[in-house]
Amino acid sequence: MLFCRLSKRRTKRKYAEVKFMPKLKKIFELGKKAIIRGPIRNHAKLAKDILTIAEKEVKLALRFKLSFFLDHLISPIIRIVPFIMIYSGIFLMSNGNFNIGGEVSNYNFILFLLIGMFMDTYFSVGVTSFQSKFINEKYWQTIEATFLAPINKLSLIFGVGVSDAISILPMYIMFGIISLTLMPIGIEKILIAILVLGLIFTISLSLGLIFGSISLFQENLTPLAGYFRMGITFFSCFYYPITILPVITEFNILQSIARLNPIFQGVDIIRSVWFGNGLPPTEIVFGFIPINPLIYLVAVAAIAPLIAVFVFDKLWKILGIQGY
Amino acid sequence: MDYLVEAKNVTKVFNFRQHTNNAFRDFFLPTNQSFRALDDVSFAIKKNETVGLLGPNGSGKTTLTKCLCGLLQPTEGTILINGKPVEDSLQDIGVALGNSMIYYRLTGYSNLKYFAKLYGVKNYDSRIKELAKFFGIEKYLYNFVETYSLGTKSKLALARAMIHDPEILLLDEPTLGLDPAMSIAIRREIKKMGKTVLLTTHYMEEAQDLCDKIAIIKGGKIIASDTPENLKKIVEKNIVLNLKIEGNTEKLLNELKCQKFVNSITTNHENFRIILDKSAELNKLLLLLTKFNVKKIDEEEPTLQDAFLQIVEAQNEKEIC
Repeated sequence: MLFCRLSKRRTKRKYAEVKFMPKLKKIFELGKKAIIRGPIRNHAKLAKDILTIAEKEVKLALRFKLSFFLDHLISPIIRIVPFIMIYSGIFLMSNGNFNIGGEVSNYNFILFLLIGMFMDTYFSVGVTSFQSKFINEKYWQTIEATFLAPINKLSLIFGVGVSDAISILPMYIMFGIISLTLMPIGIEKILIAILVLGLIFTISLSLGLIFGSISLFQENLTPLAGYFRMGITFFSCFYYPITILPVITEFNILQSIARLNPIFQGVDIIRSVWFGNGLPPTEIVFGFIPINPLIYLVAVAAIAPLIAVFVFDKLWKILGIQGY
Repeated sequence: MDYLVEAKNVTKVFNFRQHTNNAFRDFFLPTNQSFRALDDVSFAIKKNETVGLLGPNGSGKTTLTKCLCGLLQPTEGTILINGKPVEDSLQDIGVALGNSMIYYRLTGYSNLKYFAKLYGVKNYDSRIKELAKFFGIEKYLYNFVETYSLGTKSKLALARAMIHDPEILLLDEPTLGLDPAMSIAIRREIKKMGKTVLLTTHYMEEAQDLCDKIAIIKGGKIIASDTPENLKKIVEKNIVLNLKIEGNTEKLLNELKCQKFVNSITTNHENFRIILDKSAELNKLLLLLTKFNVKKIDEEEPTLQDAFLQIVEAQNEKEIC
């Protein structure tokens, strides 16, 4: 009996050594090659490439100026208006006594929604930008031309990111002024908010690159990325407090999933910085492990682009561009 | 190092779904198929050598070009550029695939500037102007590419491939859509540059003009590879006749097809181009032609195109057997 168990264990170990380890080594090598070698070898080139890609993207976006204006200025307003109407209705009917949950009250709900809209805009722009760009570039064959040049694919994430950040800048300034007029905050709080926005944007762009890769390599699966994005949006609580998510099981599963979502953590940090005492929440608890949400956000934002580039590189090599 | 570009036993297999005209069946009972676009291809290009890649449509020319520049990963085999893997030699390669790979929603200048910066070209402004002058697209440089004619797009695509002055040029039908004068000028310039070039083309005169060596590819295999002169020797003993017939041309065509001594026939209405194996067979043909109303008969020197057709047809026969 004992011999049999030992033998099974040995077989498992042997399997791990023979089958699993070489595969793990190969994945590690590929990752090293795809991610680390390029950017570490030449930082200046990476920075130049990011700016070059950003410049090109801005020029492409400005080709049709009216569409650009509507997309970046009007769409966010359209997104926020229904929520403002619903919240106003609720507070008017209850004479301001209705408790939605979290920090939302009849005094600050517009600002609460504006912060949510900022985040939602950054998230949506980051997540969707690669999909539309890749599908266009796939048929123009320019994506191939770009990758024929000796660039690191990380520059693609940040290049597109910089161009998108520039594109939404007018909207950002306009609503930033409105938000600061509604509830002025100190410069240190503004800096924390900008940092968190940057982190959320990096995560969104990385997710966007993965979704974009799916569209590029297998256009059939494009809708799946849309469903995934809708799921993340739901669990990011852009327009409602987390406490509004119903308690379904004793583990409070919906709220727990939302807390695992780094985008929600970013939204939560900015809201507590804006409405609270100026410091991000000290810790969140995943299971039994307490983690500082800002550290969690920074860690995810650091790993996400690397994973996205790795996935893109791998799919590029295995599948090549399909669909034309 | 002798060879600048080396492909060793390169095989590329594409897996795809077979489509029929029955959409219902395609959706519920899909048939997966694989297609061997390249089959154990090995070849090499020496420094400063120009190699022409000729082949019928779908023979694997573009796939091979894409594998050589790293856009496609070979299923098997290795590709070395300057002794290094392709991904480490991207700076040395310039690729032009027809008139694609340019942003239609940008101006010509913005296109060239973008790629020049990605390749780290320092004085990109002067380089862009130099290339624009050479290709004769200076006056269109600040217009959006979507307004360009086909030929201007081809010129811009070529300028894009050459923007970083690469050592190796992979050109897939570079003169597609260009007027004859421009085609000749580009050929002259490619020759003058003295670069290592892989040229994919359907124009035989272009291949003959430019190439030190020609590789003929069919069904993903290189079936012949030699200098243009040596390839032409294959058809050296052949006789090429141009005929103009009046009357029943179809009957003549059918009769010619049955004759073993006729190597190849190309027709255009009442004009026939016939290649005979040997001069000794000429009498047999003339005897056959007495039954038809022959208006004109000319003899001409066999060309590279004849050699190409003969090699491809011989391969076809081999495959049928």
